[in-house]
Amino acid sequence: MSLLTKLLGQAGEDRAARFLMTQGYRIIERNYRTRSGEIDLIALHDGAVVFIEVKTRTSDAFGAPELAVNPRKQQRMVKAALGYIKYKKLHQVPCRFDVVAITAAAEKEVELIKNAFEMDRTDL
Amino acid sequence: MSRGRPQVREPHPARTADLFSNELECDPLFFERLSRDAGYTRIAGLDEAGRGPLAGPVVAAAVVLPEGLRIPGLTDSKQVPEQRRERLFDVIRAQAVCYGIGIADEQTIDAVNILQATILAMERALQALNPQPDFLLLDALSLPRVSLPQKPLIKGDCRSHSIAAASILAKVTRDRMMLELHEKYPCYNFKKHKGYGTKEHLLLLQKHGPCDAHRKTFAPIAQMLRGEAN
Repeated sequence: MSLLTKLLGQAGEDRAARFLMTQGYRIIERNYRTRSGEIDLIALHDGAVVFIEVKTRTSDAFGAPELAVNPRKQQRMVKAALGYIKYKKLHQVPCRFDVVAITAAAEKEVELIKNAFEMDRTDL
Repeated sequence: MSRGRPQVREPHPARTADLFSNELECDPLFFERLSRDAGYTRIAGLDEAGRGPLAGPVVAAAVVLPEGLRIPGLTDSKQVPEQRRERLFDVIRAQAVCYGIGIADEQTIDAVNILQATILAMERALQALNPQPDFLLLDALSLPRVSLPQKPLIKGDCRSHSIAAASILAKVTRDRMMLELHEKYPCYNFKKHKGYGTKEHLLLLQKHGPCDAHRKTFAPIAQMLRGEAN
């Protein structure tokens, strides 16, 4: 990953975090990493733990950012989320996965997709 | 009664002691009720947090409360302790007909001025409302680009319940953003002063110089930057 893409991602995460806070989210973790995967932001919202993937793109040329969270990435996120749930003992707390899509060149720059995908409960 | 000395009523200590203590106390739903009597149904209160500080964004909130709702313990955000603000934040979000929060970041504040940035943040908060309000109650300023009927109230956050609710949402959101900034730039201790120009903040600013989150056009920082340039 080049330095530029890294900086772009970082700036995107900052914007996403601020945007989420205006939606009433409370950010509790950033860049949570485990061996099996990574989660950009973890937040509390409406009594649920929310695991958030931030996708930043400079243009629409490669398609909409929200389509870039492929099944493999989803699986890695779910694994990391399960790790977090276990680590914080949140088994009884509802949780969901959101995606924040940021397109620098679009007119509506920030888009939030709630419940972007679901955790397969058989994994538990 | 005899003529001569006019009767002077001695002020009684019990009457004078705290004569003006409830100077600002009034019915917090007064303006909401007046607006409803005039036929408006969705009355939004607007307020902002973070006009004064040297760092961080300015955050505005707009709240439409259901008719007649009073939330216990809800007054102006500056009079409510932090812990209770957090609790009220959830209560307001749950009870409000709708609410919106808008921000204007540090770069925007430097590019236009703080008043314009505040107005911009308020417009963004307003845009996030669904359904849209038909009347606005504001804290001592008006929105020139918005065509809705509006009433600016001096000390509005004490006089109107809707504005107080907005002030809580704005304050809590901004404080959370400052906590984020604290994680990013721990050397300024944003966690404690939330970007306001306290002695400690100014001292740390001297020591480390300004960062991305600081408002470059605000006097102390502008002064420092000029000093460095010379």
